[in-house]
Formats: sequence, structure tokens, C-alpha cells
Amino acid sequence: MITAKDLTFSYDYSNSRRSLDNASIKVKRGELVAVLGHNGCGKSTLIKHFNALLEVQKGELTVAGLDANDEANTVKLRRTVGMVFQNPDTQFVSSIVEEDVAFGLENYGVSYDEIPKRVSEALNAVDMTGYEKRSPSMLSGGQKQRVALAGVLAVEPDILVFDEVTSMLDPDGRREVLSAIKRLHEEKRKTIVMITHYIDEAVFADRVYFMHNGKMLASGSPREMLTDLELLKSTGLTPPLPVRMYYDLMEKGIVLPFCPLTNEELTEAICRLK
Amino acid sequence: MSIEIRSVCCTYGSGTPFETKALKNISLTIEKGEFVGIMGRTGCGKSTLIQAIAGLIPISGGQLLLDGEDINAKSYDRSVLRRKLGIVFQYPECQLFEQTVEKDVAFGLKHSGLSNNEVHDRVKWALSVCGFDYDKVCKLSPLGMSGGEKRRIAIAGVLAVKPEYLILDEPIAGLDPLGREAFLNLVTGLNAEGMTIIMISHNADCMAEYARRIIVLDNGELVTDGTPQELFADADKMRALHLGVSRSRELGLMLTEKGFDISPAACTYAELFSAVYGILKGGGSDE
Repeated sequence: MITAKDLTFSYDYSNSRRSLDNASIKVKRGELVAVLGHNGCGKSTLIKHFNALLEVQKGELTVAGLDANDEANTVKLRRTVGMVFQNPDTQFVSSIVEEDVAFGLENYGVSYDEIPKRVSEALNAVDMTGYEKRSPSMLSGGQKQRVALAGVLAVEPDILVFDEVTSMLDPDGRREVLSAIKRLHEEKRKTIVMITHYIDEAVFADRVYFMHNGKMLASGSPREMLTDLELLKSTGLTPPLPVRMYYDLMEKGIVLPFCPLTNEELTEAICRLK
Repeated sequence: MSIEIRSVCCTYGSGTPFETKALKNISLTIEKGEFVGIMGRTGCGKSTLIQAIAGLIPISGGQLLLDGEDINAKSYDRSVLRRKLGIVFQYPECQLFEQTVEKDVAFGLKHSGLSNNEVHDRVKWALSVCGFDYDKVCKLSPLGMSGGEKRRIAIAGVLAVKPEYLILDEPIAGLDPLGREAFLNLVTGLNAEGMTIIMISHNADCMAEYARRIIVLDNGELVTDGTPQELFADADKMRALHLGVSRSRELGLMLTEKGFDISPAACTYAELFSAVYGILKGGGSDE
């Protein structure tokens, strides 16, 4: 669905300060991919190429069969790839929820008979039915993010890109938004690319990519990637709590039967040992 | 030496249909040298409380005393408040504006009466506390730096004033795990040197690990005040307040359900680890 090969990018067109340095990534249809890495490693720069917010300077990028190097594809790319960003407050254009969700549709010239249907479907998909007439400014952080997500969904993109969408939310808001993302993946079979700093959010991805200084360092299943202490360290990431405990126990001479990725698995591992 | 909050009320949009009581009769005292965390779901009044403490918004009832002086009294010299109390807002990196890092960090010291040399020393000190090499960054544009760097520059600007009380509003949102840790270690270091820290955060893990006392607001009211251990021990209450508990405490609860004896006070990683280790080690010697 997305194939990026050797993307190189620098914001000031210099070759010395590369934000992306020969980064490659492959995302299959229907896959949920998590991209992790420290601040400034190039994650956001990478995903902004997917809908042509940034133009390819060097390398190749194909999204849903469209060549991103070809300017003629820009509008099509924008419709194919929907993006939601970190700060919910900076993503609203209207003072009423339903008008905000309809904004993209109006711009794409969708007929007025069709718009209400799409808006209500999109709000339903993120569990925000009933908030149509509200003002976005009166909603909680999690609700705002879900309205922002609905505005993207209404355009019916095949691919969804989430750039740290939970980092400003309280625990409730995080849970709401994550479960909306999981539902879109499991029920609507959307292809999803998710950037996050919360390593436990990567546990339910199909595949995990680690980025470091503009380069793609490694990729694999969450189990391979998130239990590899050396790899995590070299990427500047901290392991999920169960993984950390597994290794700390091992250092003290206690070896659990397997390396757990979730709290449930850790509990099971400890039960088995007792 | 303390911040005393006496029955403080704060109402927005008074007399309009949108009237909101953001703070309802809050009373508490923060002693000098404490590291206090403030938690509460979005819209509970956290930011209103710190803005009131910093004298940035008027209060509609009660009193706020800084080191014994009423900051809202007509005779009070607000410049004392500004010097004693530093505040770092959410996304402070958006507030950088000067052409060079040096000028930006020094901005708060204008009109401070310090000599140029003293200002220079303060800027150098503040940048080094925040992990920068003064000679390398002083002439750079703060706007061209990475997000994490910008945030530390903005904080250096607040530290340069050498406040006795430092208020931080969600300072770690959007930082990567190592950035988070480095930042919290920086704050802990300042606290160890005597600076009073008041920090708002949603992150239960960081609160458990770093704060010594946590205050919880809900719907404008003060609902809990205690150590992280006391707070997270009552997991049901924390969940009812939509705050949840630290990941270590969560895991401790799951193990307790399976019949393991884990203290409800184990809310940091070190506490949980030693509890788990104790159980597994003990189990080994039985066989």
C-alpha cells in the first residue's frame, strides 16, 4: 500500500542536516504499523511525505499505486491518505462539530445529499453520535481528537496516519482514541500508520519500525522489536514495563519461562514460575 | 515560607449563561522545598489553579499568600511575585521569539537591575542546567532547533530568573521517553537544591516516580491530597476520578488478583520490582 525507498530529505535543502537519510518503509494493505523513535528522528518528516505535505527530494515513494514524485497525483494522495496530528485544538475549522466534519467533503465537491450521511457515519465510527450540534471548543481532549478523526474519515481515505494523537490526552482520552483506532483497523480494515512515544501503544501493531537520526534502523513484529533490549537502547527507547521486569529479574538470577510483552503475559509468566 | 491557598474560588464568565465555577473553595498549603504534583482530568481546574497562584487571573473569593503576603492585596508589589515564582506553560516552545538563544533566555532579566556580566552568568548557568553548552548555542536561532531542544531553551529562560517556586504545566507531553527522563531528572535536581516544584501532569507513572505529594482536583474541587503511595493504593478511587494508576500499580493489582501478596503502596517500578523479586525468591527457597 505504501512503499518508500531510500527517501532523503532536508528542510533547508542542504545535504548536511538530513531529517531523512535513505529511509525505506513498506506498509501492506490493512496493516497497522507503528513507527517509534526519539524526538527529531524523522518520524513526522517521513509520514508527511505520504500525502504530499512534503515533496520527495530524493528517493521513491508509491502510495496506493500513485507515484508521489508526480505532482499530478497530489490531490489524489490527499484523498487517499488522511492524517490526524497531535494537538486537537489546532485542527478545527468550524465552530460546530458536524460542519467541521463536513469541511473536507465540501471541499472535495461531494453532493449535499451525500454529505449528511457521510458525516453521521464518520461520527458513528468514532462513537461521537449525538455531538453533531456541539461546539468543538466545549469538548474534552479525547472527544476533540475523535472529531478530528471523523473529519478525516468522512473523506473515506484508504490509509490513515496518526502522528502522536494521544500524547496530549488524559488517560481516559487516550483510551477512547486508541479504541477508536483499533476498531478502524479491525472492523473497517483501514491501513494505519501510527507514530507514538508510548511504547505500550505499539504492542498491538502488526509491525513496528524503529527510526534513529533519519534512518530506518529496524523493523519486525512487536514481539521481536520490543523485547530486544540492545535494539531499544540504541534507538533511545525504553522497554515496556513487563520486558524491563523480565530482564531485571534475570539479572538477579530469576528466569521467567518467556519474555512477556503485556501485563497479562507477565502475570501468567510469574504464575507459571510459582 | 510557603504558598498558602485559603478558600480560593474562581468563576469564569460570571453573570453570563456560560458562568463556570472553575475553582470551588480550594484550601491547601505548599511548603518551600516540596515537589507537588497536580492531577485531574481535562477541565478540572488544574490550569486555573496555577494561573491563580501566579497571579495571572483574578480570583472571585479567598486569599492567596506567597511567603505570608496576599498577592491580590492593593499594596502588594507584583514584581516580587514575578521574581519568586516562575511558570512554564504547556508547549513553552511556542513562546520563543528572539533572534538568538542568548537573547531569548536573557529576556526575563531585562529591568532586573542586574549588570550585564551578571545577566551573562545567569544565562550561561540556566543553559548549562538545561543541558546546553553555552558557547555552542548562544548565537543560534532558537526557532531552528528541534522540539525537545526548544522546550529546554524556553525553560532556561524561566530558570534564568532563579525563581524560588517553579510551576510546570504538562511539561513532558510530547517528549520521548529519554527526553522525559532527562527533563524530570533536571527538575528533581532543582528541587534537591531547594526549588519548590509544582507540576501538572496526566502521566501517572511520572507522578509516582517523581512527585512527593500529589493533589487531585475534580470539577473545581480538591478531592485528594497525599503521597503517591497513598493515592495509588486506592485504585478504585483513582479510576473513578478518570486518572488511573501507574503501570507498576496496575501490574501489582493484577498479581494481587492472582493471589500474590503485593502491597497496595507499591506504585513505583522499584517498589513493584522488589515486591515481585521477594515473592519469586521466597518461592524458590520453599522447593
